[in-house]
Amino acid sequence: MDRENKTLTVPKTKEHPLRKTWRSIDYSWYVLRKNNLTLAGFFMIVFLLFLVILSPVIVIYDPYETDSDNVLSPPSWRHLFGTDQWGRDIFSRTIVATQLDLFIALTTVLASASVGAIIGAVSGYFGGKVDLLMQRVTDILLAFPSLILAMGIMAALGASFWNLMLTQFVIRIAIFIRVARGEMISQKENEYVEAAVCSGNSTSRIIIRHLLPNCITPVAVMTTLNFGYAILVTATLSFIGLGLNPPTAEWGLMISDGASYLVLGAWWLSIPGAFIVLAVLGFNLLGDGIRDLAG
Amino acid sequence: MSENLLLNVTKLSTNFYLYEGVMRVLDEISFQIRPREVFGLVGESGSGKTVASLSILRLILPPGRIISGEIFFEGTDLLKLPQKEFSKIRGKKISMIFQQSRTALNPFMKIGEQIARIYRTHEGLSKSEAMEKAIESLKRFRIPEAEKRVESYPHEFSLGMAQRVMIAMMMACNPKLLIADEPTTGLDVTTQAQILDLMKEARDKIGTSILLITHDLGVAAQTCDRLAVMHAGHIVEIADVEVLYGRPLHPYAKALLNSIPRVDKKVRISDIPGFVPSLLNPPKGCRFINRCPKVILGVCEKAKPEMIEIDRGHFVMCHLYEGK
Amino acid sequence: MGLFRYIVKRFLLFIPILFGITLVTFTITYFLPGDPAAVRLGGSPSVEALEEMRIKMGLYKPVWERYFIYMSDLLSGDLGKSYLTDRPVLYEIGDRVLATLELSFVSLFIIVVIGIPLGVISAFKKNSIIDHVARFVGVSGISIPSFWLGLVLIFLLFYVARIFPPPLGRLPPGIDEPARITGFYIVDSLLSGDLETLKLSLYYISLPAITTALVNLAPITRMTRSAVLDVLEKDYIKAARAAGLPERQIYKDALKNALIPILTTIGLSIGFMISGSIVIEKVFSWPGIGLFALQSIASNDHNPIQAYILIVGLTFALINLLTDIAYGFVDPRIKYG
Repeated sequence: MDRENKTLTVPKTKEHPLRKTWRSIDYSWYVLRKNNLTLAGFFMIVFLLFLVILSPVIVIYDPYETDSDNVLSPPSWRHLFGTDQWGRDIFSRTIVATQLDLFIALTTVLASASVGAIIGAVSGYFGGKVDLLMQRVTDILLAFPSLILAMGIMAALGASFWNLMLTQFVIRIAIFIRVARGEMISQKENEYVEAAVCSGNSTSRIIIRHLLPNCITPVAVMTTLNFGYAILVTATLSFIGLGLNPPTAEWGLMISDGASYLVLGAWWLSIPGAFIVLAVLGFNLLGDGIRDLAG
Repeated sequence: MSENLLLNVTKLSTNFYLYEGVMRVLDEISFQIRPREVFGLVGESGSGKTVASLSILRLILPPGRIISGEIFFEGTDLLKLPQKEFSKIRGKKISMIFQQSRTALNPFMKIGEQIARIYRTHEGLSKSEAMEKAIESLKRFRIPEAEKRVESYPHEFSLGMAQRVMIAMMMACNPKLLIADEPTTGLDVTTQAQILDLMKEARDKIGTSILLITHDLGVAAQTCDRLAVMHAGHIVEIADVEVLYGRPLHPYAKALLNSIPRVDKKVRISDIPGFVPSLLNPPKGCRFINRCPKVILGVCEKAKPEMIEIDRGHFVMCHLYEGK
Repeated sequence: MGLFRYIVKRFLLFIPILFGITLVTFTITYFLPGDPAAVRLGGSPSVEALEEMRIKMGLYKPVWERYFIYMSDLLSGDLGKSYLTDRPVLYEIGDRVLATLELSFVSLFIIVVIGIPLGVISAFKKNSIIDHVARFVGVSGISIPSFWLGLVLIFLLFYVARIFPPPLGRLPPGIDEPARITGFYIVDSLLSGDLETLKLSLYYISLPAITTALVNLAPITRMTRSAVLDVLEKDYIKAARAAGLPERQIYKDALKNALIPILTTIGLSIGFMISGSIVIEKVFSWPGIGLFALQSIASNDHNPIQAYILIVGLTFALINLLTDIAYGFVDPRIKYG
């Protein structure tokens, strides 16, 4: 049946490129619709991005301005999510934190994905000693649970924004190198590569035009699935004091602040926590959908 | 058609429900298999042969579904049997061998055990009795050193040997009907011949009818008594092998038979132009219309042709022969 | 003999990884902030005393020599001393590692008992309501930060509902720990027949264990589901159906063949639980090695940090090695050699 299924596909006809693009958008939309969970994930991310875009309008309080008369107040019309132990507006802080956490996750994951994919692809294509060395390096990086590696690097470098960016980049570059390398090695065996070599294409052209596009899919799936994890790492590191420094408005730090006042109520930590869950869940549901689409 | 039939498939339709739409993979196909007969189902890949065989055993999984038709086997409609009853027929009265025998055997289980448990299931034998029978059945299909080989795992067999194991396993209970889906594809010619001989031998000694699915017309000619030619989910012609090879009627069957090289006659080998049409939105009339050299405009695109009996036992589904 | 060679080969491949782990651990420690000599001396020592201590601790030696000393100490089983307590790090960690392990084992028990059946059911009943619920719970599980989940559970189940105990470690203050036999409170109190302590230690471990389990449930459920589904789509399952084997038997086959990937995931889960314990232990004041590592980072106590990273790395790598070897035992197709 599998065999029949594969051969019975629609015969390929020449399509207008615009129509082809439309078809793929249409197909992605179909996948989203077909799977309610993926659709839910999509809307979660859209919602958060919407808040980020609207932030100049909706962040009416300075997230760092303290107000000693109005400490640990519960939600009200003045302060939608209440205030924290220094009287800072939690709503404003949460939105600013959304910006920051999403920024860190998106930039570092995309950076390690692109750098890792190129290193992995090149090392897989040429093989040899460099490849062997690369493999050992990834083996060693992957020998540690990434949270522990992140914790160690942050402990050594000290908590700060740029150190966190660097750490996030380092801890997941190995996995991208490995995925791209594996894919490149299996793609390299294909006959079309030989055909391309025979028809006189240069090596760089073969890699860029023929092989890389075919290695993109697994890397892309990996990338989406890593966005959520990157957010968790940022928040976790900040929570244990090894990510960003107070008074930065960041989800993990806000939870860490709120934890000290847990006896007085859960507002101070439930809001930023809910945002973390929303963001991570959104990316994970979306990543699952993309994986189904690719596989 | 009131003669003694083992299997009578009438108007069987199976669809696959995909994103692109409904794929009508089998469109009201009908054929009959008599006892002790080797019946061949030939056609290009994608014509629906495998789906037809899986439908008989009700092994179509979602997104596929059998939507209508009847499959009478020894007087009962298989499609109406409850699942539990049907399990008793599978493997005991009807069984199936697959193209990739090595993937069709459980890689984590010794083959002796795999065959023995069929005896335990269908004949209620004890462990040791079943193992003895398993050895016996391996011997029957000429697997050397059967006593030792029962301890082997599937990956330790060559392709041809694995196919023999598969046959031994599926013939364990002497079924009335054996469905063989491309049993010799991927084997070298000598092994091919041996496997086909084994199957014919099973027919001669045990009386098992065989439904042979193949795209290899040479294999079909050597092995089958009668043949059905499939094209795009339709059976377009059914006849005895000699009749079909000697006087094919349907333009597709003609083209197909012209595509095999022959030693006895000097003819130009031709290929069949075009592709099997999309089964998603198949042509309303005849599905061969886009490839047919003898289209009757105004007729062929309008209606699906009826299956008509030209000679005794020679059926064809083509507008060219209607009214003759 | 093939299997033996396979195992030996795995071990040989393990050696460069071990070497790499020590290299990473050393490098991180080398860059740790704070002056070890100052931490060691405590208070406000004079410049001369500091200088003397630095020379004594070998801080002025070249990097490669310090790495060499580190390695030779390591090979003789010496993880160095804690600057703060002046006790060997090995003892400090030995005191705490069993707390971490006890929590991990109890969580693992919960995960295996719930996660595997859930994964199996959702594979067999694909696209049923149970499947959708299990998948949603699974994705949610990996999307919730463990520290937040812990805090929320503490708030709801301790402060509000008063069902669970406060997050104050392994036993309530004032209760003596059971006579030390294995170091696991549950086992020790059972062995010494101290039912009151047994009840208390089960009570105190429950909430951190549930939190850990909830966070780690998802990978096992998912992996079980996809492993079973993967097997169910194989040709040999179709062939087994064609041979008329009862569905029960077919499910049994599928489960058996899906076992290896499931075992791998269990192995990985142990690794993740040990690394994730750093957060859970902070939230529940659980006196394990994670909490100890955090305290050491806060007080610039280098040797315990170094030891912690090394131990977690080694455990993780060892689990990977063991699952590789398990594959060799279970899968007859592995080509040894």
